[in-house]
Amino acid sequence: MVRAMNYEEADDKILMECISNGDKNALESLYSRYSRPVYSLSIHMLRDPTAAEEVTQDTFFNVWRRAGSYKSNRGKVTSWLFSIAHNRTIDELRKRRREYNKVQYDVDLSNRPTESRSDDPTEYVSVQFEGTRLKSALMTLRPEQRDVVVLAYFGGLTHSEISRELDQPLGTVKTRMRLAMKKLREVLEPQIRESAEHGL
Amino acid sequence: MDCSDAEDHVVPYLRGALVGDDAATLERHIAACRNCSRAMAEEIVADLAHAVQQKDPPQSVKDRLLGRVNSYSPARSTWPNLRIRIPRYAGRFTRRAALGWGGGVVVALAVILLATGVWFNDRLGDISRNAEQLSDELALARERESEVISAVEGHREATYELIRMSSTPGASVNTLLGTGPWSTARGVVMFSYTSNRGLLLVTDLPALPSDRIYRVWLIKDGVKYNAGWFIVDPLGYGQTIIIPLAPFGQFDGMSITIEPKGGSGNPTGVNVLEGDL
Repeated sequence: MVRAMNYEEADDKILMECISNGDKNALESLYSRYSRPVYSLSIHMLRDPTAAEEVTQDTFFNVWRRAGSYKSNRGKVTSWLFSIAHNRTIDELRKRRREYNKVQYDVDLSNRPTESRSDDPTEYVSVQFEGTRLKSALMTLRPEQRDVVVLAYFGGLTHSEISRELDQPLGTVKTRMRLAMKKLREVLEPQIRESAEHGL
Repeated sequence: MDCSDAEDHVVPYLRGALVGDDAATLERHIAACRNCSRAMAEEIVADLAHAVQQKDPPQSVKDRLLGRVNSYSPARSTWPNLRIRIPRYAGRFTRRAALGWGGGVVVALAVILLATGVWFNDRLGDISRNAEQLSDELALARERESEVISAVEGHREATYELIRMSSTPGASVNTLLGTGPWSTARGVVMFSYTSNRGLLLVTDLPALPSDRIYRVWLIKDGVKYNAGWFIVDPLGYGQTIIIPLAPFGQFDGMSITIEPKGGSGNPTGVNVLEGDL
């Protein structure tokens, strides 16, 4: 007797295996699980719903096409999936930066009124992350750590660009980034786990 | 610590479960290794995605995705959707002149319609395949762009370190010479004894297959200690920053061997470059 696949309860890695075998139901299931945070991350960075929709669609289409290249022993599916989404969003940010010939880190604020724009990453955090659990997490970082995280993850800048932007040595930028990531993981992971347990 | 060790330790490190010397060793590796640094950055993205304000994408995104997936499927066949409509009067006309020239015209018409349908079907298939190919090429180009950016960052980093080290008191420069088939290769290594960092630049080494790397060894009393790895560009140029586990002053030599990527903690290949410190 052949048992029907229970997609809702299947582990992410099982879904990836099914997707690599051309199972569209598995892709739909993965989409149901993660399209929300993928779209949310993208819209947060781009401030453009239409572009975020494209990024979301492209992300899951890339999962469909490249599922065979995912190696289960190389980390979690979510790390792989969200890095695709993040890279795709950064591509979009960089494209816009080239188009507008902007070199400022706050390119993702381009849709906001001019008078509310700021070159101060701390102010950026206050405005951009208002009402999110990320704001409280970012506020646990030292200001200099917060700057590099915001510029790298939400501004799409490379470490070298951040080094120039903040006028700090590259090694210092990397150290700050490493410490900030460690702190963020410590603060965010319990919150996210708790939300998942409560089905939020 | 090599890349595969670092990979195993990144998650415990980010969770605060890695402390003391283990954490310090990982930090040194991450600071010198672009790939592992990138891997650690990716590890945190999922957390950030869940932490921003959550919003569902419109249903149309899923619809468009599934449409795209359906048209991408290599097993797709458009034959079942192929419809050839023959005008209603054709049957009546055929009955009247079953053996006449009219029948021939209808048959010819049907054949032409069928052939046209097949031709269009093939062309649609070609267009679809071309679109998939272009999409794949675009994805590859994006990956390539990312690699180039990473390489440029590496060159900037090396330049910065070179200038910084040369202005540091206690900096020392040593040369490495190629051996055997690699006799034309050269290397220069600059150490800063005050910051205990080194910068290695090499030229004229052959590019390696993707499963091989050049491994750097620091030598003390004839024993080789892993000090990092690098690959070279198509022109044979390579570089890496070295952060040794012990002060540079304790080592008396350096060598470079060809090893499997992510490989063992001990040298398995012969020296391609070597020199005294």
